[in-house]
Order: sequence, then C-alpha cells, then structure tokens
Amino acid sequence: MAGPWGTQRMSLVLVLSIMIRLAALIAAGLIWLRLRDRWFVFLGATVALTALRQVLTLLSQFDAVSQTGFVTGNLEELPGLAVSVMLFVAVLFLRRLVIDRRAAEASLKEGERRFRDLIDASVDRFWEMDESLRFTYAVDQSGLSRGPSPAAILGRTRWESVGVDPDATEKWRRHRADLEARRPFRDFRFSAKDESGQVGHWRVSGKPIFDDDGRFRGYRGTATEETEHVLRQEKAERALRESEARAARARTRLFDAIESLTEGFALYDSEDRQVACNQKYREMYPSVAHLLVPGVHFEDQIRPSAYAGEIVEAVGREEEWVAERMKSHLDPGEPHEQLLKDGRWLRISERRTKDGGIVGVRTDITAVKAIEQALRESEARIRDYAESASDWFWESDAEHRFTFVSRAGVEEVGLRPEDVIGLARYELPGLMVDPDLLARNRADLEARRPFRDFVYGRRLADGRVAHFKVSGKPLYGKGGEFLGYRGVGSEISAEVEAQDRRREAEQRLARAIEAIPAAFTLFDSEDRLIAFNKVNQAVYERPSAPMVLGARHRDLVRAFADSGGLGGSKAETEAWLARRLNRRNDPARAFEFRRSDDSWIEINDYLLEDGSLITVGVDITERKRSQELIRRREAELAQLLRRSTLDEMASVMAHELNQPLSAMVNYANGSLRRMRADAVDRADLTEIMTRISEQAQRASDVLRRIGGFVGQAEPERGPVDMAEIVNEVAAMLRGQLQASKVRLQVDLEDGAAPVLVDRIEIEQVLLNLARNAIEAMEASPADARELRIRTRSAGDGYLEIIVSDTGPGFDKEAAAAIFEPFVTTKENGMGMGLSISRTIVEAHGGRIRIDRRGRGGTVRLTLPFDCEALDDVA
Amino acid sequence: MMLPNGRETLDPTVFVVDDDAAVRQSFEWLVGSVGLHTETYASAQAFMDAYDPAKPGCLVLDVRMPGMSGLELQERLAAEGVTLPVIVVSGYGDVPTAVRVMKQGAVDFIEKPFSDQAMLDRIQASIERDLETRRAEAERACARSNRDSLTRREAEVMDLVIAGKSNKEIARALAISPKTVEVHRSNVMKKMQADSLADLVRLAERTAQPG
Repeated sequence: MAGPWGTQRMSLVLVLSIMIRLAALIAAGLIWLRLRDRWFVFLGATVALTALRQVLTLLSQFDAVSQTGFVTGNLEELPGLAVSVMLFVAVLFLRRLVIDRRAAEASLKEGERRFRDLIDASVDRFWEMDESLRFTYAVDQSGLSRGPSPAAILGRTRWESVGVDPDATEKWRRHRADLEARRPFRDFRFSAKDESGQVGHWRVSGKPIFDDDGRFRGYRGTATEETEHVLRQEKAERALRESEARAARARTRLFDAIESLTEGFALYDSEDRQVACNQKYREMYPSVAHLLVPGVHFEDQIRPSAYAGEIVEAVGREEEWVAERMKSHLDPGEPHEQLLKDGRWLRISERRTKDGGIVGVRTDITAVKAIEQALRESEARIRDYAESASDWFWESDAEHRFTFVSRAGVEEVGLRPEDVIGLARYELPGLMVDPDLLARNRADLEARRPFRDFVYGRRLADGRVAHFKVSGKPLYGKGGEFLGYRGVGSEISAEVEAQDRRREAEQRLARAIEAIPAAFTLFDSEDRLIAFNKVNQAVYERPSAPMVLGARHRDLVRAFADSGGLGGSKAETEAWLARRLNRRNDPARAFEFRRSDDSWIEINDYLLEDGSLITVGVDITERKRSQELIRRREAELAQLLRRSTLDEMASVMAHELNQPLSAMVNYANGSLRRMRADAVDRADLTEIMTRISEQAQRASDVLRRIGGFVGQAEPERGPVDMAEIVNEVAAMLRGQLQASKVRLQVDLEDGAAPVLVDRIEIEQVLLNLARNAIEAMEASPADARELRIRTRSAGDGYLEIIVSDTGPGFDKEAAAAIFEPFVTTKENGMGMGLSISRTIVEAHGGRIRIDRRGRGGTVRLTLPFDCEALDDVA
Repeated sequence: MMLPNGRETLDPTVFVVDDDAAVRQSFEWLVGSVGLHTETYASAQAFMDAYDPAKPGCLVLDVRMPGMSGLELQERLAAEGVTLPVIVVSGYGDVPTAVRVMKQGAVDFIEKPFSDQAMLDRIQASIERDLETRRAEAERACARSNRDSLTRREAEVMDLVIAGKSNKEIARALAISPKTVEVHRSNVMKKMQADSLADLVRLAERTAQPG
C-alpha cells in the first residue's frame, strides 16, 4: 500500500520521533551541564543515550525513506521512543521535585548563614533579661570585648553591672524609663570598666519579650562593643580639633602679625571688600574707623573719609578724588603719598594678591617728611647764612692794596668799590681805628698771617660813621709766591651802636643805683655781689667790710655783725645773724634792727626770679624817732581828751547838782513867804522840810561822785570790786539815762573777785562806753532803749564786762576800725573815746573788742582779777 | 474882769514843765506862796497835749529836758500862734542855748538856781504881758468887726478922713456933696465907736494890722 498519503504519514512520525529524541538529548545535556546532580546525571545520561540511539536509528530510517521516498520498516520503534520520552519527562519531573526541595533547603540555610554572618559581624554579645530587668543570659561572640564579662553581669541590672546610678544622668534615666515602660530600644550607648580596669564602650539594643499569653517576660537584645570605634572617633575628633586650633592659631598669628605691623595693613578680596585690617590702619583714618571692618567695600570706606575732610587733596573735589583713588587702587602701581588733614603723611603701597584681592600697606612717613622739610629748610638756611655771613668779598695784592671789592654789599652801605681800589686798608680816608688794633693787623699782614674780625670805623663822605669787620687770609700762587689776601667784610655799624647803647644803659643803671638814697646791693644767684652803691658805706658804716664785687652776701653780713655795730652779746649777734641770713628764704617783711648807737636800720630784701637778691637798706632812725614822737603825742592827746571828757561830765554834773539845789531853794523861799504872810500850815512845812533835806542829800551824792572822778590825778592800781565801779557809773549816768529815756539793766556776777585796776580809769572807760551806747540809741524807739552792763568771769584770771545797747550796732567796717584814733561813728565825735578806752584796757593787760553777734551794739572788755585776792579765795 | 469883746478872762495860770519831780513840786510850792495857780507837767509833750490856748498865764520851761526839749516846745508854740509868754530856766553852762532861746523870742531867761523874787517878778510881768496881749487882740478884733460893718461909701470916706482930707476935698474926690460927706463921716464915727478923729485913726490902724 504505497500511496502518497502512506508516505506522508510515515515521514511525519519519523520527524516527530527525531524531534522528541533530540529534545531528550538536549534536556539530558542541559541537566548534565546545569545541575550536575549525580542522580540525575546518571538518569539523564541513560535516558539521553537511549534517546541518542533511537534518534540514530530513526535517522538511518529517514535516510532510507528519502532514498525511497517512503518510510519503511521499524515503525515499531515508535512506542519505545514514546516510552523513552515519557520516561525522560518523568525523570525531569522527579528531578524537579527533588531539586526544588533541595534548593529551598539550601536557600534557607544560606539565608540563615548570611544573617548569622551579619550578626556575627556587628554583635558582640547576646543577652536576655528577666521581668526584673536583671540579666539572665549573656554570651559573647568573641572573648575580646572590653567591659564587664557576661559572667559578671548575670543577675544584675545593666546599671548595676556598669556601676552607675541610673538616676544620676538623663541618659540612664531615659534608658531605665524605656525598660520600665517595656519599650524596645535601640543603640543605647554607655561605657563600662571591666575587672582589669579597661574601659569599654558599648551600644545595646533590645526589645521586650512577651509570651503567648502576652505576659512580659523580660528583654532580649544584642550588645556591640564599639570601643575601637569610639576611640577612633575620639581620635579623629581630637585630630580635627587640633587642626582647627592650629588653623585658629595660624590665623591669630597672622592677625597678630598684621596688628604688630607699624604700618597700616588692609586686605581686600577680589570683590574689593575688606577682609582684614589692623588697628593701625583704623587709626590712620579716625573719622571712618567704624567703617574699616571686614565686608565693607573699599569705595564705601574712602568716600566718607574724603567727605569728612580727612584727605587733604580730596577736599572740595571729593567725587573726583574717589574716582582717581579707585583707579589707582584697582590697578595698583607705584606707591604714592597721601597727606591727611592732621598733618600726617602716609605712603600707600598696594598690590594685587594671587587670588585677585588687593593688599594695601600704609606707612606713616610724617617724620620722614618733617626731616625732608627740615633738611630743605636747613639747606636754605645755610644758603642764607652763607649769603648773609658777610656783606662783600675783597682781594688785595702783595702790597695789601685792594685789587677787587665785590660790588654787592659794598654799595648797599653806600660805598663804591672803585673808591678803594688801589688803596691799602690803612690808607682808607676817614679811617677810625684803635691804634693797637691797627698795629696788630699790620703786623699780621706783614707776617702774612690770616686775620679774623678786624674791626675799624670810617667817617664817610656824608659825615656818618660806619663800622666794619673784615677777615682775610693770605693767597699763594702755584709756585708758593705770595699773591696777597682774599677775604670778606661786613658792616657792623648797627652792632657797634647797639653795644654803645648797651654800655650807656649799663652806665645809666649804675648811676641810677648810685642815686638811690638807700644802700642798694644786688647779689647774683651764686650769692656774689654784682652791683652796689656808695650809700652802703653810709648806712652800714663798716669800714672793715670787704665791699667789693664778687663778695658773698653772707660774708658781708657777718663782717657787719662782727664789726660790733650791733652791740649786745655774742649770742645775740649770732641770733641776729641767723635771722638776717634766713631772710633769703623768706624776704616777705622788712627787717628792722637797732644798732648800738641807737640808730635804726631797715632792710628790704627782694628775691628775684633768677635767684638773685636785691637788698635795700635804709637808715630809719629819723622815722623811728618820729614814730616815738607820735606815740608820745597820742598819749598826751589821750590825756587831753580825758580832761575834755571830764569837762563834759562837769556840765552833766552841774545840771545834776542844780536840780536838787533849785528844788531846795524853791522849797525854802516858798516856805519863807508863807511864814511871812503867816499863811503856813505846820504839817505842810514839815513835809517841805523833809523834801529839802532829801534834795540836800541828793546834791551831796552828786558832789561826792564828781569829787571822786576829778580828784584823783595819778593812775593808781589796786583791787577794786567791779560792782562798785558799775554802780558808781550807773549813778553818774542817771541824769543822762533819764534825759535819753534809756533803761539801765545791770547784771553783775555774784561774788566776783576784785579786779586789779585803776578805779578812775576804768570808770572813765565804762562811762565812755555807756555814754556811747546811750547816744547810739537816740534814734531807737523810746520804749526799746535799753543799756545793759553785765560782768562775768571769763576764765584765765579775767573778768569780762559786757556793755550792750539796743541801738543799730556796729557795721563791719566800724567794728574793725572803731578803736583806732580819730575813727568815729558820731557826727560830732572826735574818735578818741574808744581809742583811749583801748589804751587804758590794754594797759591793764585786758582786751576790748566789738561783738557783732546779736542785735544792737556790744562791747566786751576783759580786766584781770587781783591775783592775790584770787589766791586768797583759792 | 470884762474884756472889750465881752469875754470874761480866766484866772492866770503858771504852767510849769520840768522833768524833775522835785523841781516841779518845789516850784509849785513857791508860786503858790504868792497865790498864783500852778499846773505842772513832766514833759513838753504832756503840756502840749493838755494846753488850752484860752487860758492866760505864762509858761516856765526847763531848757534841758528829755523828749521834746524846752527849745522845741517853744518853737512848736510859736508855730501854732500861741502867744503864751515863756520863761526859760537854764542850768549851768547852758548859756549858748539860752541865747538861742532869747533870739527865738522867749519872754525871759533865768539861770538856775534863781532868787525867788526875781522869778516871781518875772512870772508877774509875763502874766501882765499875756493879759495885755490878749486885751489888745480883743480890741483889734472889735475894731475889725466895726470896720466890716461900714458901707463901701463910708469906708471910702473913712480912708480919706484918715488921710487928713477936709470934707470939701472928700466931696470933690468922691463927686458927692459936702453934706453927704458929713452924713457918712458921722456914721463912720458911730460905727467905729470912735470918740475923736485921733481915736478913729488909731482904730483904723489897728484894723489894718494883721493877726
């Protein structure tokens, strides 16, 4: 049955068979290559070989078919092949099962190992703790960890194991709180010492464990020792810090260096903003010092400076200057100089730095400038000196005749060079010269010696006299032959005249000193006599005194003392000397002394600022005598005035006496008339007689007082009770008190000892004071007129008597001068009363003064108690 | 006693001003011995305060007194037109003062101590003078009032009569008849209470006096 269909069907089976066997073969190869599983290799290989054989078989059949175009025979092979394929698929499936499980196992094992490796690498210790947070388990990965060993921590809490107080630090507090709150924690870091004292740094993490019932069972976690890491980190940090410090130090050193520069230093960055500057720089521009800080643009610094007037060249053209300055700043070239308004000069050097910034250095060259200036001036001065040192130049020949005289200078003094050419100097017309000087000059010329400052005068044609000073030195030719002289000349008329004037002034002064009508001496600061006049001889009368210039003041004074003119003992003379010589230190007051012949000398010393001393001695004998005379006259006058006081008193007394007398006469006459007329009443008459008697007594009292006051002529001191004096004065004043409507208040100290006084004199004083007081109250209201006389012990053996009134009192001026003679506040007073009172009181050893405290006038005076009486009392 | 103006005079009084009580009292005693009335004052002010100008008499002053002095008092009295005669008593040494007092028109001056007779005489004389002054003053006042009662024509006639003109001359001067002059003249004599021509002249003069 061969047909097309039959053939086609055969070839399809064949192709299928080949393909299956090839697939099996390929699968076996793959398994072999990929899995290398022995079991499956063997199985696969077997299957593969079988498959290969079957394929080969099929191929041979296929060849036959192709040759015949039809598949013949061996179709029975097909079921075997199917079995083989099925077997192969089965093997594959089986293998798949086995291999997948193995792979899963291996994969699990691999993951576990990897995890373990990871843990091993990062964890040093596993631990567990119980509900009470005490370690129950701890195992280390390696035995190298530092810090407490696992054995050491079992049964303890972490803080106990480390040995810290968990409340001590925030870190531990938080950790314990975490634990107690059963929160998981991560990376709690702490350090702990182990038994050997090594410090270990640890990082621990843990999480709470709960059992299936949700009960807290404790913690489980890991700990990692990171000591090395920490130490490394610390080291790194230290290194970082050190490098930072080094950088800071370097910066500081740099700034210090900048600060220590004597120059002003400023650094600007590439954008022209200040990076740094030193204090010096700020000081150079004080008005913008606050702007000279980092970050400020250069232009913003110089503009305010310019407008503040700090830069001299910028004044009035600020913007223009700023533009110029910015140009030179941004493109720095040669250093330039800058003048500041305070007169300082700065040299400014600017340079670009590598990074595009600008560094500027300012040097204060004020001193240099000043020196330059000084140098310039000094040069000019020297030039001026050279020009002015002499007025002209001259040259003369070997015969000393002028051959050349410079025109400049000579003409200025009115001379013409041609007038003298050909003449020798000593031949000049009108020459006026000291013959000795001329002779010496001629000798110099003959000997061909140089000469200096030969001075001569000339009467010029116009009649005036000019003075000249010339110097010259000889000139020699190349062969050594004498050629003449060459020199300079100056006109010195002014100097000569000034010298003359000075001499004249000195002479005038000397004459003036001589004319002083006093002994004048002048000692220099070295105490040497440099000027004196002849009056000295007359005043000091010391023929032996070495009154010569140069003598020392103290020697002259001593010589005077030793000449015996002073009289007195040696000790007294020494004392006088000491006083006299000490006056150089204190010449404030005139020094007066008396000589043995009763004459008086007064010396006034004037210490001048330069330490020199002027003494002016005057014979004041006459003056002293006049003073004595005046004193005597004053005493006489006082006496006179006392008498005049008495006269005045007498008038008062007369009135006092007249009153009772008049009354008596009237009573008597009235009575007589009545008796004659027989119109008299006996009782009346008795009354009248009594009155007459009273008045007679009154008159008698008045008389007794006058007698007491007037009777005694010579002062006589004795113990007197002051109360008696006061009462007596009060009685004498009665009339005046009445007339002036003045109340008298007497306040005497009880049992005061008697004073040793002249009764009449003190009565006079008291009367005087009281009367002054009464008069002083004339203008006061009548009911306010009160005179008070008080006495009280003043201590030191004196009794004080106080006379006060209610008048206007003394003004300050009056109080100061009232005791001087002829000083009075009264219109008609002579001004002697208080003066005499003072004389009397002071003669008694007492004092009298005005007391301006309180109202009204108060005069206080003291009088000495009678010492004997005092002693008796004591 | 009747004054011409009809006023009755008061008894004359001796006013004594002295600050010294004894002097005052003794003076009163002396003056009283001749029956004169005395008023004493311790100060010039006290006197001034109490003085009645109508009282005639005289004033005895001590020149030396506290407060207003005798001198001042005298000046005050003069200034007030008081014509009371003043006898100034002065003490020893007051002569210059006394001279001043006299110059100011004091009636009298007497030095202390004085004789009683001299003092009393002076007092009497002063009182007389005061009375006389007062009488003259009264007369003058009377004459003035009489003159004021004349008509204008009568006054003209009187002036001419006093000038010594005859009736005829007066008639001519006044352009009236002599008869009329006669009538006026008669009226003038009557009104002026003049007895004679001489009397009229005297009275007319008195009216012309000031004061």
